[in-house]
Amino acid sequence: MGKMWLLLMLLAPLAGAAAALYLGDGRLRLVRLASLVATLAALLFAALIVTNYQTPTARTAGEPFGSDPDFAIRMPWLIYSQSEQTAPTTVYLELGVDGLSVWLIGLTALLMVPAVLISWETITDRPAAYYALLLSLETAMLGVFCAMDAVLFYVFFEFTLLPLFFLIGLWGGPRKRYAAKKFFIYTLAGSIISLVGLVGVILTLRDAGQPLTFSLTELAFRAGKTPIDAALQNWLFLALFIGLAVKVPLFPFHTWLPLAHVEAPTAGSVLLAGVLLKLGTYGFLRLALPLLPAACLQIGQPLVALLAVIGILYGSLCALAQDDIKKLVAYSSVAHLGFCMLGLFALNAEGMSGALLQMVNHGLSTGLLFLLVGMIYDRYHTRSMKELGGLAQRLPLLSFFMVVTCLASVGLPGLNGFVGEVLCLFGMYAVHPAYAVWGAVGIVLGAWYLMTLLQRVFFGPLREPAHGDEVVTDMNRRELAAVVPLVVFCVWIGVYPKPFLGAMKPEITALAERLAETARQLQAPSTSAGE
Amino acid sequence: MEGVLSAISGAVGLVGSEAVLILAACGLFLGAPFKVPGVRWRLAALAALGLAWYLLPAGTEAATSYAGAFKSDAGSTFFRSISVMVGLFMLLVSWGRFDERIQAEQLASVLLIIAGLGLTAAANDLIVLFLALELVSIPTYVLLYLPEKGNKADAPRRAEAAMKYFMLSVFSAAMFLYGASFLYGSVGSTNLEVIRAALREGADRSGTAVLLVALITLVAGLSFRLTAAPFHFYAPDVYEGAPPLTVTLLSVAAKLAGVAALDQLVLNGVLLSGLSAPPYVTKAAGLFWVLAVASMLVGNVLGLWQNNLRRLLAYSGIAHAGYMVIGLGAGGAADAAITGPSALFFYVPIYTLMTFGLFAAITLLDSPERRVETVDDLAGLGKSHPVVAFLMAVFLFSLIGLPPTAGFFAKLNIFMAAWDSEQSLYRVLALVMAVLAAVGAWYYLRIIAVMYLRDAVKPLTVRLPLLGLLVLWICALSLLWFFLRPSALWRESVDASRQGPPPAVGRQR
Repeated sequence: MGKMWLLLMLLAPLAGAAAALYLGDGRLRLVRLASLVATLAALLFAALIVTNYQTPTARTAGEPFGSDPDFAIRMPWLIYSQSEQTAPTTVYLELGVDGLSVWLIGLTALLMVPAVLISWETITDRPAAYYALLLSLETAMLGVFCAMDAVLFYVFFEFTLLPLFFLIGLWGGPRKRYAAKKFFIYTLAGSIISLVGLVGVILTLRDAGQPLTFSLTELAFRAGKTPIDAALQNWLFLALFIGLAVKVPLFPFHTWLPLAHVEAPTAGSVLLAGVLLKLGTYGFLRLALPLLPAACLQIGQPLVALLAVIGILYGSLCALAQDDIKKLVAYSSVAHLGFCMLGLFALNAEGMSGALLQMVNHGLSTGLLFLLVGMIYDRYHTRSMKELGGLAQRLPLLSFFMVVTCLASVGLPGLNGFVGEVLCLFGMYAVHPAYAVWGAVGIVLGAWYLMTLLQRVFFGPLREPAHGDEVVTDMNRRELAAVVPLVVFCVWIGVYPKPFLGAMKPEITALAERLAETARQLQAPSTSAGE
Repeated sequence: MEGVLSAISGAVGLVGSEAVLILAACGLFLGAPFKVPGVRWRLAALAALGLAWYLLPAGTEAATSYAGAFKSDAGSTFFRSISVMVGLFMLLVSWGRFDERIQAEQLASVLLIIAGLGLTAAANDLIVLFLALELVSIPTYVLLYLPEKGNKADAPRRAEAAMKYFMLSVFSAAMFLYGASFLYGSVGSTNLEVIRAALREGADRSGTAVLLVALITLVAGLSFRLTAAPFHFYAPDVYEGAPPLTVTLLSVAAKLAGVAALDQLVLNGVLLSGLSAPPYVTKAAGLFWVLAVASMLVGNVLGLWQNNLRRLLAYSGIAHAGYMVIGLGAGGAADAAITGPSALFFYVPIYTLMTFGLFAAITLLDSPERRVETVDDLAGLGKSHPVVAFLMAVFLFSLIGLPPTAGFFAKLNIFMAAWDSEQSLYRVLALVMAVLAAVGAWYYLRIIAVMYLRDAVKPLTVRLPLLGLLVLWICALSLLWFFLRPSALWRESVDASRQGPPPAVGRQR
């Protein structure tokens, strides 16, 4: 039954996309309805998966991952059977769910519904193509998190580029063409180099007598049994790092992000910030950490921690300097992803679980921020803080949600951001206190720019741009339906994070053990060299 | 007398489809002066190609002996099937687009080129190989000069393209002959199998240095057809000036001929079995390394500045020649699951589908009233011709190597073969390829961006012919299909690259 849910979850958006294209631009209402139904169906199956997910109990020793067998699907895709004597080397269509991916699957399916709802009235130009692209993007994103085969993972990872390129380029803001091309080329260049690293890992992790494997579970197992030579690990890590760091994005590779986020249509921004940035951090968690542990410790930790701290401070300061609200939120993403990476490369259980939780948190809170900013833009056709002020008087409901979201994003205790950020910083503090302290400065900066935003736009005397005869009304039911579920989860994670942390615990613990073991071996080179 | 006759009939039996094509071409040439409705010539060509397809040996047939002038094995069948397929596509795309008065000659030239391609793959003798390559070249000169509908005014440009191609082609043929003479000189036979056997036993008279000279000159001569840098100079000029339909054929036919001939000489071990001693095998791999890097660099970087669509695609072809050369040089270790030759054979049909499709689409969009010459001429295609724009996007994404198109697996296999090569230098090559492919992605993306993200000042109004559109659909759907189900094609590629008496490049030590 579980396998069916997983397949249906991946196929429902595709069916919706096909339906949208079939219905065509003439039947806008039906197109929108079909898209909504498709995303709701995917959400239903995702919810079934999330609630029924159980950590596999029978797990082979030394194997950090093993997806819940209820949801595991495995079909041969490309059979590289070179010789008849050995078992065939095969790329599998291998899908599954484990503790690292289960919440991200839930997040993706959850964010898609508001993405469709927010496009409801704003997208009138070629709506069929728009919704078809949006829905195929959903399949690609869910696919990345469900993929348990390295090639399949990469295929979905790359495929996300195509719908987004068109979404930004066709339905974006004034500089959409430049933004779309820059986004595409940046991420493509990075990920092709990552592919070389991935190919290197696959071809290096051989097991005598066994065929090559592309399965992430099996690769992680082999990496634990016979780790790759440390020097080679460093090169492979650097290759993987480039593509994933562009996607996250880490500090010097972030320049595509503000542009793409600002120019994208609201739904595009929500998904870019909410899900696509997580593909980078998830890639580190899924590929770099288990397969190249020595390199993560040797060069990954100093490099990433430094870049993450620079990203936190630089992103926050940039956010502080913005007048465009959407740009402010975009730069805040650079800073928040810095926290994720800081926690991830603490390389201990607290840091990694904090990072994974922070991925979900950031998806919720930044997704919400982009949704709300999009709603303001729909009403006033401006996002400039200079032109807006005191909106709390005009739009009390929207302002209420904005305040809650900003507080969640800042990390107020009792809301979701707090749990994740604190865990990330705790993790890093145990390894490199200095980085954690600088990261904490970023929290203060974060509070500063978000509170400035609230104060200037929502409080004080009412200041609105001329909006003709249009009556500006507060949020309607459709907009409430888009926002409320996300806010509920923000509060839930903040108040009771235990189930969220519990599901990921076995995988995180196994990873942390492997990293600790590798660290021990690295510190005692004489013994490991003797083996 | 009887012996000669049976030898001829045996040889013709091996290359029956090519014999049919050549006979049909002769018929077309002879009948051309007579006033016959054009559609009959086209139907005759179609019948010839259909018969040729029917006469191709089935893939499962065992390899014949390698004693005669021709051979028939999985490798040659692989190439011959692709070339007949290209011939069929070409006929359908050109349906009614050649000038009525001279189309018999033009169709005959197309048939001869296809026959030449097949013979290149089926040749088992240096002289036959040379003649087959010329059988591809000479009709190409004719096609390059003859006008097509709508470009009659371009006579000076056509003449320039034809002359340029002629001069350089003759030069490359001379290089090939020069190298072949070394090979003949060191063994004393022109039969490829005899040469291979003699070299493997070390029975050559002159030592390996001569073989190295032979390798370099032969590869140089064939690189011209492959448009591998630094032998690429003609390609952008010829593609720009030549008649569009001819370029469509040339873009894949020349490359197929080059790969098939290199397969005969290099991959089947003719040259390399003589060069298997350690310093030489490294030098041979080094030669391909340099060729690959130069081609990828020239193709991907210089393409960025091109504005003419066909010029741009010429550079794309140069870059892809570089990727294919990696497959030539990267013979995998004995236990490798993905060897260079298999990856190359996998690449060839995918490349043919995507490049032919793209050139055909541009050709079909071109009309005398509204030329499609520069990238900007495609502006607004996404709105005016959504279907064609979609198909072109499939070809372009496949050329970039993005899923969900077969171009992704083609590139992935080359990456894996390069990484798994015995030559550690090829790991660097994988990285170089990744970086340069990302650079080149920019110009493909530019075309997509122009098609979809810009509006035309003067939208295209041409209606695409049904048969041409059919070819585009076949190409695009095949690319998507081979992404979803690549295993069968991979198995074919492995069989094809393995055939011919072993060992192939990397497997000998």
